[in-house]
Amino acid sequence: MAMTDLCWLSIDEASSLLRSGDTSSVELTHAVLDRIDATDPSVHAYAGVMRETAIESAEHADAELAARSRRSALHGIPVAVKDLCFTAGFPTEAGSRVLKGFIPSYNAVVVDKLCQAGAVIVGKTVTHEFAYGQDVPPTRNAWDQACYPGGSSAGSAVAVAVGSAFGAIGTDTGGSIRVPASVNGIVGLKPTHGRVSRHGVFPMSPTLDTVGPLTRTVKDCALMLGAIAGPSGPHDLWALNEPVPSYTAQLGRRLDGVTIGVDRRYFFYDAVSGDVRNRVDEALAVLRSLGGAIVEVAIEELDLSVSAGMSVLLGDTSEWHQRLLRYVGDAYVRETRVMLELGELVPATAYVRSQRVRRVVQQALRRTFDEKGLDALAAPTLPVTSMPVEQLSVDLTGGGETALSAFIHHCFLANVVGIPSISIPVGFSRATLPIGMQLFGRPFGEPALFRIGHAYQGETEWHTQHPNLTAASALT
Amino acid sequence: LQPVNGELIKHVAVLAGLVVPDEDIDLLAGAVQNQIEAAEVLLVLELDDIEPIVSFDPRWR
Repeated sequence: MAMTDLCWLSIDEASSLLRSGDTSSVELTHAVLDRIDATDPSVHAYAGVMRETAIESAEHADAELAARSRRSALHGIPVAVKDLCFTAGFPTEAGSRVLKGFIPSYNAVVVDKLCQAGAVIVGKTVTHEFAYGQDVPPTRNAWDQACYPGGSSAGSAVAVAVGSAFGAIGTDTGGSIRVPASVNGIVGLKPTHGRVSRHGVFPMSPTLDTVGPLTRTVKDCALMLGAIAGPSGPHDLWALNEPVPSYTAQLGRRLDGVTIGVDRRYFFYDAVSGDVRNRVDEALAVLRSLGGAIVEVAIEELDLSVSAGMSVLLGDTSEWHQRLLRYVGDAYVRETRVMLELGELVPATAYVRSQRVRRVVQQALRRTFDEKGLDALAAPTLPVTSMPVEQLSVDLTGGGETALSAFIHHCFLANVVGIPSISIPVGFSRATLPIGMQLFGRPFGEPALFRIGHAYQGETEWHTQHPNLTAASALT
Repeated sequence: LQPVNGELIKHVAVLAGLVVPDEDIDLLAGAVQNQIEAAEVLLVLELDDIEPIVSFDPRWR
């Protein structure tokens, strides 16, 4: 098999070849490193590549696999990690001059768990500065390099989309896994809050932050979550100590008995483009054809989620940056710094009130899930596709709707109430830019989301299409 | 409510122990104004019986 073809295997397929001895982890890792060399000058997905340690890890994995000591489906699989996650002995700069040259002395729990599962970490992926989404990093969209790659887990999504990683880790505080997954045509999961440990990951908000996987297939996403879920031990308070089920056990081709809600007033409002509306409606029709029931719901309290979440996000993030802002404030990108200044001026009363409102939204959502018997709530991941970088507005400081505020409108709900949400590719716009549909679940309801997403991918081929990077490169 | 302007921002920043660079003042004033308006939406809600989503847990863990 050609090296480039190896890069397009799913984790599940590559794992099968490793198990049968038809490829090796070293071969997969070389293929990915070659792919990084070929693609990264155009898309800038990586902040740093760990060539030597990746090859060493791959050799170690091959030795273990040869001894029939297989750790997991990720054993020997090359993956990437967002540069917000600590990697012992390797720079972790969170996309900021503030952290220039910072080298952690320990791994984030999510990195340790990947290593324990036998995964090969090939590098750190580009993030917006401290994940705030206010700057535009050098990363470019996998499908059109003139376009925005999403954020803040931009590098992770683009790496997976262009085949320079089999899977990657991102973080999501207001959509930062799902937004780049959607605009790059891949799968991204924001898990239930506390499902994956946040220890060793630069924070924004302790009650909104999540760590999760980005992959090309839903099954791969389930395999990765299985490897990284749960605390590192009894003293890891950065994750909830809930049992970790087999996330692939419920995967099948039918959706009989599954009920999916749709709130058209909130998620299909005027700003949702015709292409997005059509592709998501077509996806819902596919789910219905597989036996799923689609029911209309109306949850007025969703209107409160962004206002409530923003006060908390602003206050929490500024609290963590308080000393850095005073000592090295000029090292931040101006737009990030203004958001940090803004967070210092949020009254404590507004913060507490927002925490009450989050409970109101949570209760309303729970009531709807229970009364309608929902397994998931479906919506466009974003109201629009990506756009040329020069047309992008990520400003959150003004009163009008910008691209970023529209993204947050669709995504923030999952963070505000702590539920899981997965974005899956459901087609393309007329301009051949990817469109995603997201599925919100009950707390720890990831198995239902994987079941729905996997059945959908069994009937469609959007996830098997890859960007023609050669053609895209011609644009630059 | 008094509109938020640069002078007000400088005053509040002093109270918050924050030195705001001149280049940030206008952008920050607009952001604060926007945040105040967003918070007003929440002020009209009746929330007396609602526990904030972050509550104190006295257990030793």
